[in-house]
Amino acid sequence: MTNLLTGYLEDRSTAQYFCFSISCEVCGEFWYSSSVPFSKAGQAAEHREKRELYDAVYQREKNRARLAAGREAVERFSQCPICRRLVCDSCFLICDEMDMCRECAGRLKESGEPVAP
Amino acid sequence: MKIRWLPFLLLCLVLAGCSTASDTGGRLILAAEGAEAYGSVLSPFLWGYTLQEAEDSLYAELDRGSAVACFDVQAIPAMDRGLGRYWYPHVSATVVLAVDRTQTDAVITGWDSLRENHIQVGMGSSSVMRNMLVMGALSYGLNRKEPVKRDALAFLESLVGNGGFEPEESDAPVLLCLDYEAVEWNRSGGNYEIIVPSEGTLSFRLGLLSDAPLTLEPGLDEALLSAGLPLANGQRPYGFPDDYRTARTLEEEDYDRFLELTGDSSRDLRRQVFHTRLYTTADLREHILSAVLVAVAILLWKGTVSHRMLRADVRRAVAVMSWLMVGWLLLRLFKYQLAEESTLSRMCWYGYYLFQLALPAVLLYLTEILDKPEKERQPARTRWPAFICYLLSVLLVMTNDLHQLVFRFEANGNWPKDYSYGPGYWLIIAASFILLALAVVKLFRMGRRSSYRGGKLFPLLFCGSLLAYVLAYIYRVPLAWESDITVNICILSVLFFESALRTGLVPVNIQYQRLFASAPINLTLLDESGHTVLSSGGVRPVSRSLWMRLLADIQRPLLRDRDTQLHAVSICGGMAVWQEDLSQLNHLKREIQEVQSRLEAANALLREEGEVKKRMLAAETGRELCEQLDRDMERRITVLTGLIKSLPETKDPKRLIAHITLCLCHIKRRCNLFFLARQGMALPGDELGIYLDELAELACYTGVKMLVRCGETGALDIRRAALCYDFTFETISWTLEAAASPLMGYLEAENDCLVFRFLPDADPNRWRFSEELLAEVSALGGQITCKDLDDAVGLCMTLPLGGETNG
Ligand SMILES: [Zn+2]
Ligand SMILES: [Zn+2]
Repeated sequence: MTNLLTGYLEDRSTAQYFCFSISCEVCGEFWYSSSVPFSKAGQAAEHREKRELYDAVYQREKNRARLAAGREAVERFSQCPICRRLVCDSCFLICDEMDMCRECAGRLKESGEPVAP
Repeated sequence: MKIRWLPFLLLCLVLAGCSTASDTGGRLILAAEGAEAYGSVLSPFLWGYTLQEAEDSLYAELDRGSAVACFDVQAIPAMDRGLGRYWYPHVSATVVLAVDRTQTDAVITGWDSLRENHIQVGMGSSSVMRNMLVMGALSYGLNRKEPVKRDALAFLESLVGNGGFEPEESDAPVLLCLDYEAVEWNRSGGNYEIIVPSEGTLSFRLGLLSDAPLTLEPGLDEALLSAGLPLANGQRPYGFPDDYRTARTLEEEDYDRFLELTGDSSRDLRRQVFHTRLYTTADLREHILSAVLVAVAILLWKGTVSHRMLRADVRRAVAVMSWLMVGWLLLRLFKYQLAEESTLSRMCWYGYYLFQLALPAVLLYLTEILDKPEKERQPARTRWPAFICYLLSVLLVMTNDLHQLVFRFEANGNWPKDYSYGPGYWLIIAASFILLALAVVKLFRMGRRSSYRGGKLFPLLFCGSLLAYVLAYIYRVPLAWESDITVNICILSVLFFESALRTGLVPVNIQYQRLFASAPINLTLLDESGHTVLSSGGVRPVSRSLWMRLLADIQRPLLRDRDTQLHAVSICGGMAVWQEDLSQLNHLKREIQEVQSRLEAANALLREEGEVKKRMLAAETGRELCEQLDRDMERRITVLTGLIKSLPETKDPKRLIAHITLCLCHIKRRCNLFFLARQGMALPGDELGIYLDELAELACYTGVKMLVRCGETGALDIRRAALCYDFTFETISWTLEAAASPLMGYLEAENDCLVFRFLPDADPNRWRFSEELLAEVSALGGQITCKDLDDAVGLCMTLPLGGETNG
């Protein structure tokens, strides 16, 4: 699941911080991961070697932040077992027999409570 | 530790300090009034138990394992409810009339004779228990079959109107008391006639109630009798009336009835007999209930105010005010629970002022912060005087035991009732009045800006009534003095503040809610913890992850979904977030993209069509070219074919072959020129010369001697060059036919004309050039003429150079 989510992450990072988002495929609302500041943000690179070093650090920290965002997203997203889409907790319903997304539940006339209202 | 837990901690400490129970050995507790004599006789017979003061209610003491001396009306209902398992009745106690014969000699036989004589009646005490015993005896006495409370109350009320009824009074001529009490007074020198009311009365039994079986040493009955106490079995020592027939002892089934009759008797006495406390709480239960209710109401009110207020500092001040009032009420409740009037309960009494005096100070602080925008830091010096004033006042009150400057009373006397005010009290009251007045004046000065003038009446009214009430209480005006000052001050303060809110003296944001709800601005205001404070109608709430991301980087707008973008600015105490609807924009973008892709497709289609057309056109052009070439060459090829056909019959095949070769060469060059003409190219003058020389050379083989000289003509256009070439070929053909060899040719440019002259060796007047050649020459505005020279006739073709005359 984490791998799946990590694949869906959209990059919203800036030079100052790393942030990723995933949109719910049912309601379309974006969820944003907690932003992680770049450790070298705001430090000027005086020469080319240093800039390259910073770029490398940036990439490494970004990858780490992406993994963390994926782990964070696991808490808020589920994959609907029926339509296989990624849905946010407000669109994912706990139904009697099988949990599923709001739209599938509507189609199958199932009722349930959302994971997070 | 956060400061807000401090009051709670203090309260815990105070409460923990109260429960210092010494649980060593059994305790004998006196829970019945007037049982001291009984207790002191009993104590030596009850081994292992020591006589102690009650620290708690009868039932709590029982629970702790104490043996409790009490009346049967206390013990039996308690046992019915599972409290106390062992009941040992020892002493009988009958409610009687004790008539002080030193004061009156009226004939008194029972209850009714009291009504007839205008004599003051007392009870010696107004405790709850005493009220209950007397009320019970009265009810049973006045109606033996169906005793009702109403009768007893009506009787006492008539006594009040008659000669006076003073529950507290112990020096009245007639006292309602227990028989052994009256006997005791007589023993110590009193002159009381003890009368068992003829209408009837009740005999109660005084005894020991315990959870554990008690072992009493033998000889108790004798000891009780010798101490002047009547026994429960009816045996009485000297000094008691002889006739107890009208006194009734309660049976097992009577107790519930008794409790029903005498329940709430203190309240009923106050309200229905003395007509006091009609509009305020009359007994402990009502005190507690009203205090709890008011506390709950204040907390609810605080909730509504925080809901209406946007400013966090104002909200905090209102919260402090509410908690002060609630704390005050709770402290009072706590004081009610204290069984005796100890130093602790006096400290609680002083503690009221901790809350009471803080209220005006907080109100003043509130008016000061209201006057300024939230973020502006006020100079501390404007607040210090009020705070110091409050601190000193509290300090003065709390140390009252040391100097008695605030309240004056006898430390061992009935201080909760008998106290007077010292100069310190007037000082602190004046100080808090000044604070209150300052706050109110400030409030009204600010309220000048408000347009709602008539509404200021209510705050003034409540403020005035608050002042009046406090003054009335201090001067002990009965209505105020009898009432619950804490509850009333709290209610009046809340009313005052609420009316100030309602009339706009304190600005609230009730309207914002409506404004937000109806405004189509898609704006949401969030507080510091990300909770929505205000939100315009139809806006989805901002989720926590969105809020955190906005908080991390407020400058950068973020997408809520594909069609909504959030922008935020940080504001005081939170942030404002508004939503930009991108759906129109996205729709437009999509449309543009669609149009673009459609255009691209159309473009590709057109391009392909063009290609096809071009290819078709090229094919067409090629066909036309061929046709034209065919037409052009047809005649020449016919001539050539004729020549070739005549080849077998000729006498001079060599010459004929040369002629055929000449024709072939001509056709080849003409084709060449035809294609060059299609390409629109020019032919250099010397190239034409080469062509002409080629013709001359081939003509040699046919037997025609000829010479062609080309002058300076420059580059010729293909059409003229082709004409020159054709003219030369046809001339050669005629020369061949007319055997007019040798042939001289000369091509030169003369006065904008191209002039090509031939001088054959015969007369060329009969030579006929082809139609096509002549037509082409005249089309270019030129001509072919024969010119008679001196000894010969020359052929001359003139063609104008330059611009074509397409005639
Ligand atoms: Zn969703
Ligand atoms: Zn689904």
